[in-house]
Amino acid sequence: MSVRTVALEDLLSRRRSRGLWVGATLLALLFAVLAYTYNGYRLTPFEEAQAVFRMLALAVGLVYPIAAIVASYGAVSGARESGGMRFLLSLPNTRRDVFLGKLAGRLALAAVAFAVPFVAAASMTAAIRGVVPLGTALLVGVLSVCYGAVFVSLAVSLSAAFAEKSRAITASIAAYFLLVLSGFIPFLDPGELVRIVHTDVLQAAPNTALYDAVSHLTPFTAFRNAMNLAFPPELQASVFRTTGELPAYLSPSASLVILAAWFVIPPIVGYRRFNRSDLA
Amino acid sequence: MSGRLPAALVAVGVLLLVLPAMLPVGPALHHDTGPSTGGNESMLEEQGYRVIAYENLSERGRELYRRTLESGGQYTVPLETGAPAFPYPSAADLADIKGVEARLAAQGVVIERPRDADLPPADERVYRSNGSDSAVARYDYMTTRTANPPLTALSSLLRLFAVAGGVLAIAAGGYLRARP
Repeated sequence: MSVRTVALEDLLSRRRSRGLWVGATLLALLFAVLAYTYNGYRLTPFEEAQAVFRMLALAVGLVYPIAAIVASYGAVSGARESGGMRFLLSLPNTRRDVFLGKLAGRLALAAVAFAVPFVAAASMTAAIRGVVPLGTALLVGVLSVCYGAVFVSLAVSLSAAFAEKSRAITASIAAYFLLVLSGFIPFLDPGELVRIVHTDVLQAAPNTALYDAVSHLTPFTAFRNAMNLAFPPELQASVFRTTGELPAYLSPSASLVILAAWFVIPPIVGYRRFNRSDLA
Repeated sequence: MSGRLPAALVAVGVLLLVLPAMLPVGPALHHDTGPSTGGNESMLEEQGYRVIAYENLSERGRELYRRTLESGGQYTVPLETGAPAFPYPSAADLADIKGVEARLAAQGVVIERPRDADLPPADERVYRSNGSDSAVARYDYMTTRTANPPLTALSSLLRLFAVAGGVLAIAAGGYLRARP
């Protein structure tokens, strides 16, 4: 066995999950209805189709992490709890093979589970508006899969770091609150917390660039900012407090670097803990 | 489970998912007598509205106006079957026009109804000085524009149900295929 074999075996076993199929179906129906009901004001069909994808990007930002976490939180800890880990490691597999195989399997699963909802939304957009903005749609699709991969990577890493599924899911839900919902709930936004400490506690002069830089570190804010690459200026979202010309570290390209870091760093930490843990 | 049913479900699902994109709902010509204006002919023309006497409309124009009133104020016909006197701007055409009055004037006409005509009553409300409604309005504003059918139209709903059916068929087929 190898990383590829572990990944394939994981993918085949997970695709039998009824919950996964139901979740992906509900996501597809949600996307189709959103694309159907969106109504732009004073927009041409092409502009309205672009606006549909902008709205879908926001829905992806909120919902896709949940799907990715639910599909991935038990990847390693589930096998440890059920005893399957002993079987996996009794064959000539290293812990690294198992970890990377599980990660690859869940990444493939999340990408496939996203494809049907995305195609449903694109088809609905074309059916109602007669046009699909191909460039925008492709970029939204690719960035969404990258964003989902961040949360798969995070959930698999947490799953490897903890011995029990219950602790892995608790940590994953906490991560969702801190990394996604913080973009909506002001007192959870890291940038806002820094502002309170900076101006109210330390009595320093406000520094908007600092607060924006801290907010930018969450995957949700980075994803929203990166999404601006897919849209024309009039449809781009204002993500930061800073107005006008943004500094390089707040640019959409910088957001891609932040997403890449979120994809790479948690597995390194998760694997190190998994590698050191006692599996007996 | 035989392998044929799941494969067939997936194939039908893909077809249902893709077909609506290949056959989009086309734009149509919409007539709506719902929006209102006030004033007499000279006031309306001052505001930029085009006022046409019912008698001066073409046969098709009269028919469309009558059918719109008979249909509860809204009537839709395919492209190329409108009346030559009516403007049919699209959302893109209207996007550059500034001001509410200018936009209203650009996307419709005011029809001067003949006195004692056997037309269905206009839905315009005209207030007399004592506050009571007059029974019949003389000038009836009707918007005429090119747009996609409303989401509640059968053509739109059919496409929604096709995509939803496609998703469900793919999910059912995929799940059945994956079962041991």
